[in-house]
Amino acid sequence: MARARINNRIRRLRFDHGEMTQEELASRVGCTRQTIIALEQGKYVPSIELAFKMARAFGVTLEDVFQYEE
Amino acid sequence: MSVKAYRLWMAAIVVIVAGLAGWAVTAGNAFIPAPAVIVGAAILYFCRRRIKVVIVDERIHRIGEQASRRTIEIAVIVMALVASTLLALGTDNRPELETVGVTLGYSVCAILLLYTILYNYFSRKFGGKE
Repeated sequence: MARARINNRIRRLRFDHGEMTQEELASRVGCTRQTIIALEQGKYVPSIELAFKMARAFGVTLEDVFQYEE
Repeated sequence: MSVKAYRLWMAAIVVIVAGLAGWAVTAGNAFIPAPAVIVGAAILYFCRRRIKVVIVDERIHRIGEQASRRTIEIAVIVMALVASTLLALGTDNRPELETVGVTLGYSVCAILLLYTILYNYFSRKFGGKE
């Protein structure tokens, strides 16, 4: 069975939004900066709640931030 | 309160509580450890509420969940193996080994019982039971 993977464009979106810092994004979505780092490195897959918060922080849809690949 | 200040407070409280508990045990005073731990935990709780930034989030919780599960798995297996070895070694001339083995065995059972109770509780809470 092929391994499913969730990619994200958080780093790209941060820079597209006035070079938002990881700290700033973390405080907007209510998580730690270490979590943002883990997300950007693809080491952690967020809960659906955090994913929605992230999308809203950037003003985009969920799939603009996270992409599901099989 | 900043995270740095909170961590300093935490370190200081842990040292004080551990020191008090250690002193109470050596002095044979059974009334100090429990209140010391409760007061220390209360102070830490109030310090934590005064922090503006997020220091614990879902990733930290998930790490804790994984670590707890692995700890239980490893501890229970090791304790069960040690308990059965001690029970096997415990003969008439080494009854203390048998006592330790029985205690360890009951401890394993107690941990597994608590795990089962909590597993069922959370399973119901998160809708896993029909």
